[in-house]
Amino acid sequence: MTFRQLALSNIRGSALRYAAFFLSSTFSVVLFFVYAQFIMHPDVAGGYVYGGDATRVVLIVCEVLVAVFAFFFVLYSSGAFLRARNQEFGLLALMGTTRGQLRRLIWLENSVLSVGAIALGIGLGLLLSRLFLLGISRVLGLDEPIRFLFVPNAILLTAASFFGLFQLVTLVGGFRIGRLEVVELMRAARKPRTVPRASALLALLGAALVVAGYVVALGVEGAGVVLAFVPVVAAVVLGTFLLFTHGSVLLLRRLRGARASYLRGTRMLIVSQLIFRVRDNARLLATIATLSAVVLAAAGSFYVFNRGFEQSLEGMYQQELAFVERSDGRSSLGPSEVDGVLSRDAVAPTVRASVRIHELRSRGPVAGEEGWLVLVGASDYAALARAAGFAAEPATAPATAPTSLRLVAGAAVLGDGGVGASRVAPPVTMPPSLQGPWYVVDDSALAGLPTEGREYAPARFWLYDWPESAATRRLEAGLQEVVLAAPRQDVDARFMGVRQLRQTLGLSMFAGVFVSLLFFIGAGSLIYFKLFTELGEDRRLHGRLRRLGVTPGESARVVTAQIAVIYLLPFALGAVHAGFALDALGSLLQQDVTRYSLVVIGLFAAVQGAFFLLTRWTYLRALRPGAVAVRA
Amino acid sequence: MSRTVSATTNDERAVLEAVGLTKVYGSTSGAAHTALDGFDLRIRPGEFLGVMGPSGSGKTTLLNLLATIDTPTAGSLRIAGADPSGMRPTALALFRRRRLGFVFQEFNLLDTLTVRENILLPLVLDNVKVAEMESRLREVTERLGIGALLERRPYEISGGQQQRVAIARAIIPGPELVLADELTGNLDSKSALDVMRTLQGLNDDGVTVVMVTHDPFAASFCKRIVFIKDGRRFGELVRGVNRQAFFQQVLDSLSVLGGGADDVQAARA
Repeated sequence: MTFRQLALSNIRGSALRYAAFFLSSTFSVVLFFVYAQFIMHPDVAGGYVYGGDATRVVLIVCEVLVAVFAFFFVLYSSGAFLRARNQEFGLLALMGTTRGQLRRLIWLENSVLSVGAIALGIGLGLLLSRLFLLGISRVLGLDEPIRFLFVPNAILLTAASFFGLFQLVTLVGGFRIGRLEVVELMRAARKPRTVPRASALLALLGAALVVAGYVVALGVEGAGVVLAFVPVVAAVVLGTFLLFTHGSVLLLRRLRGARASYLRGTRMLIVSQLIFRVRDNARLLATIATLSAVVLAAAGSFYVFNRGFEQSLEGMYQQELAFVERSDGRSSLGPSEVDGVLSRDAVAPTVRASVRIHELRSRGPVAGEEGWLVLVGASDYAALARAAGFAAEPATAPATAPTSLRLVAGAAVLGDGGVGASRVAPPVTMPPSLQGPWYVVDDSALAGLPTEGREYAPARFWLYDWPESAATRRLEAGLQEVVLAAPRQDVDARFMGVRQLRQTLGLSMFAGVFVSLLFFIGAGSLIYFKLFTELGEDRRLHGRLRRLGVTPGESARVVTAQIAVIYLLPFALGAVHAGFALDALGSLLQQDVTRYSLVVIGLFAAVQGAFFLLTRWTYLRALRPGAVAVRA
Repeated sequence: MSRTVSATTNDERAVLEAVGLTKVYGSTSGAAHTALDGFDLRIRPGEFLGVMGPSGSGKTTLLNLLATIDTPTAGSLRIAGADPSGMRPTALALFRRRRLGFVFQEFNLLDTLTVRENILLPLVLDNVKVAEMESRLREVTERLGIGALLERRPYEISGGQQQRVAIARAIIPGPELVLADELTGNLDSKSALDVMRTLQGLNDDGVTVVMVTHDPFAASFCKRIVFIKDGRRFGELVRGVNRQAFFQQVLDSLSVLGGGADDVQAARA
């Protein structure tokens, strides 16, 4: 048996143990690759990105963060993996394997694993980007924001950097193993855990830094936000680390001191386990709290901007749909087509009104003032106003507006005597062809309207509005067909405007959602893998507890509390951080962002909650004793 | 300390009664192995019973069955008047916690808890009142001479002390039966003597003990020893007055049993 065969059969033999390391490595490859492919995509690198250079800088910063994240992730899981195998290495050394051979064994194993992880990671990454692109275009109801392509540079970059990374990590790990005494290797699995120490001073400092950061974030206005940004972020990050490393231990010690409540049921087990768990994982938890805060704040800002755009757009559309129905043989949209779509989707319009209009050339008393105007009868206009819910009397008519007009063949002469007329600006959705000034005249004046010389026959202006509901999306899809068939200048609809905006913002939207999701899933998975490195220890613990008569339910409660704290505590703190950050953003934009913040944080909380439940479920299953009689 | 056995259903009081206890492993794979074969055992209150046998004789299987963490393939078992085979996992766990005490070779103390918390664990899980816990703790720790160690952690005290803490944890709920598995296996000879004397003292006070062991020295503290070989009962020794003579008898029986002497070496190594 050659040495290489030994290494290979080692991997085959203990596939389960390698699986965790392999999967976490594959995961970081996927993360890195999907992102690299996005950044290097020709549509992104050379295409239009909303916000231009600033956005591009943010994307590159994110790429660096992903790389750093992946690096630590691999370093971390490789370290945990090698530590778990200390005893095996000790045994090999005991049987006379030289240090050089041991290092070569580790190197060979890791090389095989890393090549496999890179290949699988890139494959999965391609699959995932395809699915993600499909998913996001479906959700947003858009064309795919970017094409699906193989980006050779991204594949190369990923493969090369991860191969280098794995080699480096292997060297570090092999060096560490090589330096340890055989006895130390054999014993490493059974090291007692000493009681964590914590400094009250540092814990207080941490709390003070975080609170100070919050106070500044709440207090700053306008341009101060930009100035305060870096120091506040630094203070809060540092404070978070201190809170997790020292504050958490101190808090749990206090809980432990309260004897009457501590010595009840599973609380003693939970709290005493947590003191060690939280301290062991303090830096990881603080990192994840920070990461969650960044992701939440970024996603929140993004959402605020996007909603801002959409809302200003919605302000321009008082009704869902407006169009001109023509009767002079020109093609036009008719109410029957719209009603057909509405009744097919069982949507009852809240506004369905029309008014007879006359589109006339307008001439001023002075030469040169020429254009188009829309003329309506007073009673018709009043009926429209009632139906659409606005005041028929113009609130403030411009003082300079002519108050009379004279009707001639195919035109109206303004301000030159004739009939009395008042200029109005109906606050309704208006197709482009009707955006000229509107004049209201007495009904009787229209009777004398000359028909000869007119370019447009009298037409009908239609207004439709309906409430937003679950059916709206399907309705809009149906309407889109009939609306797009009509002349562009004779129709306007809110959904068309929103759609256009979304298409424009699509790429940035895609980037924002994508990056947030990636980071968030990354943080969740990091906890997941970290938890599973502690599975062996927990198995032993719960095996012992079971013998002592701890019920399955009590064991599950202890595990649940542990997982809950590790998942939800950093997220909760991150969410509070993000809340203050978004408040600062609000004062920068002079806008109330509370609702948006709550929506984003709630959404991510749901994802994190799902992560927690999934992990709890798999972990409890993994803890369940395979054989009933396990020797503790 | 021990509760008087209230469930005296039979003519004669028995804490534990096993009839035809059988355990077969791996029958699905075809290579079935009968670890325990029709084993009968009856333990009266106040007994100090040793179970001895060479490696692979079925000692651990027997102990796992008595400890209710494994179920027999055939045969019946009654402990403290109850039949564990019919219990759901939660009821079984509560049964172990309240009616049985365990002492293991590896002590099985939790490093994350102090000595006090380790001992109190079964009472804490049952939500016993703090005042009551404290008084029972005082009683038990005085008896075992570990009162000074309460705020230490398991890895800060010696093996013998750890085993006495484990014994304290086993007896604090007032179990009908204490099960001990090679409890001197990880101890030096002085600590082993200490621990065995402690156990003997508890037995003198009325605690019923079943102890599985390789070690003839530890076994010589028992009042009765049952030998087991290849899953069957092989013989029984009852102790007279002199422990030294009993020790010699145990050694003789082991050499008849075969393979025992090697195991003794292994156990003391």
